[in-house]
Amino acid sequence: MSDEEAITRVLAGEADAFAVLVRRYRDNFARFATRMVGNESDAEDVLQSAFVRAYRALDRCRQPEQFAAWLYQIVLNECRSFTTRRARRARWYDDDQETLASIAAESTELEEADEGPSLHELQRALDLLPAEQREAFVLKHVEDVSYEEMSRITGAGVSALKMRVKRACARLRELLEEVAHD
Amino acid sequence: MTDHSPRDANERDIPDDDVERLAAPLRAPVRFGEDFDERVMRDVRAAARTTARAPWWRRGPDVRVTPLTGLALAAGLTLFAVLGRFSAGPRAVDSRSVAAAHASPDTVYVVRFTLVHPEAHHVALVGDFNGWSPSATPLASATGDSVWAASVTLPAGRHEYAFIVDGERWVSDPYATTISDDFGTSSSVLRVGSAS
Repeated sequence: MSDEEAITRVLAGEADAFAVLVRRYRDNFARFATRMVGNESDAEDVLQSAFVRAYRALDRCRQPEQFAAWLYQIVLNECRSFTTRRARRARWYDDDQETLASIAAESTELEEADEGPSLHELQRALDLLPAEQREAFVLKHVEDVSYEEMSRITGAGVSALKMRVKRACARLRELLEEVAHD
Repeated sequence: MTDHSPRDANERDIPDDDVERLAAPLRAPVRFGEDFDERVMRDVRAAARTTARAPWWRRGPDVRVTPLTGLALAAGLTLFAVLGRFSAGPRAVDSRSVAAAHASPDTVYVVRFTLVHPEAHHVALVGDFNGWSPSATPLASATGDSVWAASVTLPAGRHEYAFIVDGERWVSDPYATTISDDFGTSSSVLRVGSAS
């Protein structure tokens, strides 16, 4: 069943047809949400909420053939809302130095092969980036989204997105180098 | 790329190999628990049930005659087109067009259009009676809630109409007779001035 067919059925009252869309997109968005919020447990909650929000707003998906792009916007907004709430509730990290120490300690403990930073180190460094840089980096280099599509998803201009990606790369490298030198 | 902002050492181009070294581990697949789909669908079904339980959309349309003596109207006719799009799910419900009996040739009608739309920030009525202009007939939400309404003076006859929500979303009345134009856009049909 195509996205368009599933959407038509849902809008006709067949709520169970939405399961097709959940099954089709959950894995891609599971990774995206995890990279954005920093851990799988929170990402599950965020993505679950995003899917339900998408269901409720499905009649506003004006281009059903572009459902994935539309869903990206909803998931991204859920991630943004979640991280904002989390930041308000309590600082996730006391400061960069404490987290860097944590990264370094875990890195030593894990004794990764010297092929580069581990997923864990990278995720922790990613968490330290400003939200806009994290979004841009993940969309571009993890999810392989074009700048034009990123612009549609985030609402930011292509030039601004390119700069965010570049700054994100530089900052990630700095963070990981600091860990390596500790 | 055009960029007039100051550049510092952090904005040097990063070699592709370095970027790949940073990004590749992050591309590792993430799989949620096997019950993820079921949890989502449980919430979806709950949302669908909540919609079905919504009490107000089942109310019948409120039809009443509205005397407007100042406008020298011979009669008034109110149409409530109640059309819901609820926060709980995509669903549109309940409307009815009505017609006046015993109308004279000089009769004009006041038709009150009402749209129930909890999430709308702006609603406009468009139709053949206002040149399909989105700015001609805005609906007002007098109580500040989800009920948007406007009264329109119409001559007897057949009229086509629709609602424009937030300046971009075209909403026809699913419980009225619906027609599609050559571009596939649906509009609703209202007949006033004759029993039908």
